[in-house]
Amino acid sequence: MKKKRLFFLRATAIMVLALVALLDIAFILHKDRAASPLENRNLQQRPALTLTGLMSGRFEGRFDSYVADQFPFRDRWIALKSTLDRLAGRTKSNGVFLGKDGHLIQDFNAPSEENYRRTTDALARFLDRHDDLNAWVMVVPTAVTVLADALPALADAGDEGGYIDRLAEDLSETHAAFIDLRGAFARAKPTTPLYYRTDHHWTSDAARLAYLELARAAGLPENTDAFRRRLLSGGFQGTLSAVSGFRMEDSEDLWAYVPGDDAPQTVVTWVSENRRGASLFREECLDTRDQYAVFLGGNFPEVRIETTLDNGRTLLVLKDSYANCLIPFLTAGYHKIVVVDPRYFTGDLEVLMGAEGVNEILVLYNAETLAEDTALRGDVGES
Amino acid sequence: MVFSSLHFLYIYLPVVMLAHLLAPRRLRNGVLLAASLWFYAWGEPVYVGLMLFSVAWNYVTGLQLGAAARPSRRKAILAGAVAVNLAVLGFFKYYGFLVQTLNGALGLRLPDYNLPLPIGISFYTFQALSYIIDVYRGTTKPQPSLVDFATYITMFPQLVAGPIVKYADIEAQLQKRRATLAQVGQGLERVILGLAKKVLLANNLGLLADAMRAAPRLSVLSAWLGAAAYALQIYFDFSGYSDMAIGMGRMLGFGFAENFDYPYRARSVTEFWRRWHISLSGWFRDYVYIPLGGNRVGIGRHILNLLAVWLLTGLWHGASWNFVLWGLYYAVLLIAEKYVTGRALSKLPDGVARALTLVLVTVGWVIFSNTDFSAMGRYLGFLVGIGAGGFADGAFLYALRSNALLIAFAALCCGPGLRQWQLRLTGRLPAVALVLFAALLAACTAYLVHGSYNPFLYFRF
Repeated sequence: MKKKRLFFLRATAIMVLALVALLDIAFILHKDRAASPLENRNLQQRPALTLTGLMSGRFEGRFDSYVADQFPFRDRWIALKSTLDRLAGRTKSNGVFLGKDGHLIQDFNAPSEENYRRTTDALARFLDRHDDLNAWVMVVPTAVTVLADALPALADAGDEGGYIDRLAEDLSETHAAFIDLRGAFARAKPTTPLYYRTDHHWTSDAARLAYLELARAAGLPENTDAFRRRLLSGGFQGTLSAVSGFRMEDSEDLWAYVPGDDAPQTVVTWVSENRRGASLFREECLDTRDQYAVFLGGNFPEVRIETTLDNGRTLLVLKDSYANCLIPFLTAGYHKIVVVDPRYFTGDLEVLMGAEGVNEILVLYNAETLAEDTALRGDVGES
Repeated sequence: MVFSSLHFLYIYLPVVMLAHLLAPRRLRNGVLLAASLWFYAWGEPVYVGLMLFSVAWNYVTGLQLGAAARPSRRKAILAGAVAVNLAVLGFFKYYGFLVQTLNGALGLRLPDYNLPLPIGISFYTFQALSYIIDVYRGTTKPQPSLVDFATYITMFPQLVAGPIVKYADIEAQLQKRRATLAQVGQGLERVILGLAKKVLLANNLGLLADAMRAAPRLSVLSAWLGAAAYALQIYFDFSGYSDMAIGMGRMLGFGFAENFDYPYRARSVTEFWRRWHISLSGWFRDYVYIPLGGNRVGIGRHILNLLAVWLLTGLWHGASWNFVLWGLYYAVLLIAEKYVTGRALSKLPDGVARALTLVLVTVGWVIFSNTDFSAMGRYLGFLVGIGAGGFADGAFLYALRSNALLIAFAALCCGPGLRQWQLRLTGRLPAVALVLFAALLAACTAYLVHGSYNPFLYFRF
């Protein structure tokens, strides 16, 4: 036993030395990566050694990050860590649940009372101010509500349903119609995938159902026959897997409804970018990690869509990224759609509405984003 | 630099160990000293000057004490040295605390310089004091070599988080030490175990404890789960660091004394403190408690001695009132065990006595971990149901389910059983043990790499 113990000790010394040497050689030989597509950020490069940098501690901090960011087989180590977490029974990471059937589900964080009040009051006053315009508020429930049965056992998720109920109640004082999608989604759930498994967004099929609900209320075409369902990508890897570290190997299909020959023609202007095009889709985004950005090219402060439909209807959409895959359907019913993302928009909304001749309003957010949002209330003129 | 970083483990440590191993014997301490200063300077180079001042001052004082023969002169030198050490520690660690307290209580406007705390100052000051006092007492000869003395004070394995190594314990090894391959292996075994305690157990337990502490409202069971997680976290964090220090000491050829002895198996609070952070309680015993007369005095004086020692112990842990309260909490418990409850406690079955001790220690950690008294009061309230969200709730069940394995394993690691099994395994099936240790190192590396995993949260947009 003594002899074997001695063998173990010596072998440990040699083994650890060999492992460390191997990794260090790999570290020295491999080329530093500029960025991590998985994390959507630049990785730390080797910092330059300067006396001031060293004395202030900046160099040291950067060097430590450099070693970690450029550690050999970095993504493998990260995947190993997630696997170990799963083996240990952990089913939540960075606010994302590891759900059943491969579903990753983002938890709902209830807003603070102050945040809720300020946003809701500002929105209500904005709608009151424009009570001469038809308006709809669509707050989309996320997977945490609709796919609650796919949450891991005992999961203690935030009460998104309660939040939507309260918001609908508080906005019922305004003239705007609140469109609650929970019924339609519950009916469609058994047959239609409503959310991506690795991403927090709803699918184009879910957006289509939402459009049909809106169409009934707003007098838009109550079918989507002018659009064709098309597979844009078979290798979509959503952000929830990157954020949580769960299921990082999984990928799925990304479908879109693209305008057919019967659909009105469109001219799309990305105002801040000073860019103009005919398509609502930017297919070059399919070559990046963020494939969902194919819809409208992602999020921009202001996008103006003009169609060949000459019915005089001009819609303002105040929205987050959920709207991006629903907006194509709206081109079948509007002459002009002004899409504003309050998180990036810095102009004066009232001036914009006057200049564009807006005569209808749609507020379209998913519940999670709206609950955490602090930008909308500023743009709708919180006093 | 921190032990639990990829830079330290994969670059600094191998380079320093190889340099130390390959250096000619008479240069070894020089290599170790240079490495330790580099270790200390990393990230905050300014305070190296302060540490070097402490080294130089105590080195010279040691020599003076050695040369002085007259008792009154020796006493004067000692008093001067203690005063300077405590003044430096007091200024850098307690000045801001003192000023804030005075300003708050008396409405003064003394300036608060907001100095960052020099890392490890509490540890190296205490090491220096132990050396000076031992030289004064004549139990230790002064160290004639500045390099050797500086090596002792600054040695990187124990510099920032202990254990507090007494000079006498490593005096011989400073002159002559050897590290065989087996010793290096033994050191690495200990380093990997310590790293695993810190990275796999403590960090993950910390996530649970933090989540519970951040919640605006907790059920009673959630609060206890969070408090237990913190108790386990701080044990594995601290003892993991000590393990790594002892292991690295062994790789360098030093034998540091043990710092923890399965403290959560203690049958009483008195026993807990014989098993927890042994080098610190030993320091206070040798240099404060016993000089004050220890327990060989009347009851009144003994109680006063305990209060003094534990007030200082509390303050040593941090410059904040909650640490004072935490120290006094233990003073009261220890006095009670000595004079009131001790006999009854010793008659209880082991399991009951241990559970009772654990509860008291866990409540102590709640005081320890909350510098904000209102947050502390709130949390202590949750533990007994005041202001709590019921007895148990969904959050508790989910947290328990998600952490059950972690907590069960951590609890297992609180006793000696697993370590004994591991030692037997290495002696019987060394190949299996080797694979186990490689896996443990890989798991730690994975968690450390993941620590830098920082997905830019564009998914919110």
